[in-house]
Amino acid sequence: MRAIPASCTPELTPAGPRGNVRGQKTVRCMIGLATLSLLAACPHPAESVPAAQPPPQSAGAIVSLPTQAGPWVRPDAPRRIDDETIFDYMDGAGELYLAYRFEHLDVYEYTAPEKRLGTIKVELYWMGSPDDAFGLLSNDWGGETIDLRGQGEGRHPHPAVPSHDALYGGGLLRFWSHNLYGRVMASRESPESRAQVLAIARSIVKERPANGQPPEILSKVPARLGERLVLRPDRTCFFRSHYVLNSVYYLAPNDVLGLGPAIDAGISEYRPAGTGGPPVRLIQAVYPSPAAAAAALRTFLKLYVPGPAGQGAAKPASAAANAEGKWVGWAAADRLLAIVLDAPGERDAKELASAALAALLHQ
Amino acid sequence: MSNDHAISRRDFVRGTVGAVVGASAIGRGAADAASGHAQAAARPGRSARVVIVRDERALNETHDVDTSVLDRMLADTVMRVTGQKTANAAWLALVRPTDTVGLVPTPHMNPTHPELVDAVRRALVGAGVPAGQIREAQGGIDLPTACTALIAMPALKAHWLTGIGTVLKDYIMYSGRPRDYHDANNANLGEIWLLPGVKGKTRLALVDALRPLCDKGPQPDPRYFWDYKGLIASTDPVAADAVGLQIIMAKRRALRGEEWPLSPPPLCVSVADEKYGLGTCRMSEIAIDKAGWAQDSLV
Repeated sequence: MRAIPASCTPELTPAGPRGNVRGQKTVRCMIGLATLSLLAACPHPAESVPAAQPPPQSAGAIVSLPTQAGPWVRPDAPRRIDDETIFDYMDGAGELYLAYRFEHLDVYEYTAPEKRLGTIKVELYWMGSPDDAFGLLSNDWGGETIDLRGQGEGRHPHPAVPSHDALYGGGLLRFWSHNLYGRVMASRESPESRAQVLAIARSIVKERPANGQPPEILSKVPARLGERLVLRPDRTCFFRSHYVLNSVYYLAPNDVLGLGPAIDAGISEYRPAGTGGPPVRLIQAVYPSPAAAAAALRTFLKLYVPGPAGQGAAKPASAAANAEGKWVGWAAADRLLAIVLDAPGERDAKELASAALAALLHQ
Repeated sequence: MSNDHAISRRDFVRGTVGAVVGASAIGRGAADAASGHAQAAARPGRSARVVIVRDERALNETHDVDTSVLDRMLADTVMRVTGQKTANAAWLALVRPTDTVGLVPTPHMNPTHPELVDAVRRALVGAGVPAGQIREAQGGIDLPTACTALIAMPALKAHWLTGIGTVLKDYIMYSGRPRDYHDANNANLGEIWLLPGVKGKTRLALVDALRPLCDKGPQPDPRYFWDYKGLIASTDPVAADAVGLQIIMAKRRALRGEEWPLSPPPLCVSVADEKYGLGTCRMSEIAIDKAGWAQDSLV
């Protein structure tokens, strides 16, 4: 092993712009405990202190899990994971679910009497909205398409995303069902475990509300730009966090677009028709306010676009600029923002950004 | 631009590396990145050796480990790393019988096979290290502090928050704040190796490449595991990660039939070289010693 240079210091780098979120949660938890202590000390009747109760079950929270699936049997109750315990359950992967509007996770593990059969783990991620559950599925459109409801082609075809709501591969089934994102995984894939994985998932979705359309913003993705750029629906992702964006397409080290739970955003990929050239990306976002959208564009241009377009005091709301041989385009109005990345030419960058903004404006 | 490097020039120009490495490195970093860090020219006096030992029988069709095959692979690996003629001599070239040896496997996403941890433990005992002086040291900073020697034993995997989650990320829990190394901040992972309780203690980076994971997750998707049936080892942790990264990138290209960059980019590998001086990330400075099963070695 080479010697470590003496000039290297052992101090660790300060926390990033989000700070230590786990630490913040710990503080929130301590405040909560202190509040509970104060409540306990107050001279109110004991019955006025609310007892711990399971949350009321809405129509969206209905699931029906078989107690037995072939030789696999589940426990009576799930392991409940919330936003405080998710990192204990899955380490850093918890960031993905918190990046959408995560409510809680229920985990069931089906076990079989014979070890060689492995286990089947069911993870039910309860999300704040159907859009959030869809977003989780949209992170990866790969795998074998599965029709869980037996309704043929699934939901109504959508130009920007594949029309299926469940995908299987290697023993893992991922699915979107209203406000639920599910993962059902056999630790040892076999024809029998595959059949039971699908049976469990079908049981889960059977009594649940049917899926509506994907997030509204994805209906505003242009399917093509003339004959030059053609959308690849299997690369469209709905997101709210720069962590997710950066895992799909690395935009910048920090949250330059000012993303968060209140923002709807999508990233799509286009292929230059007939050329086999590198892909072009489109980001569309809807912000809570015009000021938030304008701030996002300002930050993006300042950090991302070289020269006068990015650094000037007056930034055009719609334009394109060359960045290291590829073109960046943008268009913004009101609460809406469209950004084109890696376009082969100025015209493509401008026109796709304008078309994307026009689609967002068209209600 | 080469197809083989995982970090784009934009990562540097946009400030990713500038923010974490410092302005003085941006120019050189950008120049290197333009041709790819991994493909950059060799520097005088810089070299590393990475051993890859594979055996087709290491896993069966249901991916179970054949421990007798693994034992032989491990012995071959450490002998090739050290140049010793026996496994016991090889281990004693890496650690002393008086050392307290911390084994540092990864517990999450693509966990290190417990059979490999057991094999290393058996081998160390066989070489003369008392069993009571061998401990698992994955976790808080007190664990490496109590050790005099460490063996980094991560499984080979991509990671959705750090690009690659193998050797350099193996010590992330020693920082006490792993979230500070997510996204572009993965570039700073090398600094953890310089903490007082950690610095200078790593005798071997031993990568479990029996069944790597080539996509980032965040939770393991079985479609992206594959049976590589290998061990990758080096006394240079950066070189071990650089070679592992080449294998992951090659597998991703093979799966999609096109470029499939890791995102976020695994900046930690080049920065561990350029800023923290932990080893070399340049393939031109790395000699790869391959032994055993040759099919689809990907590097």
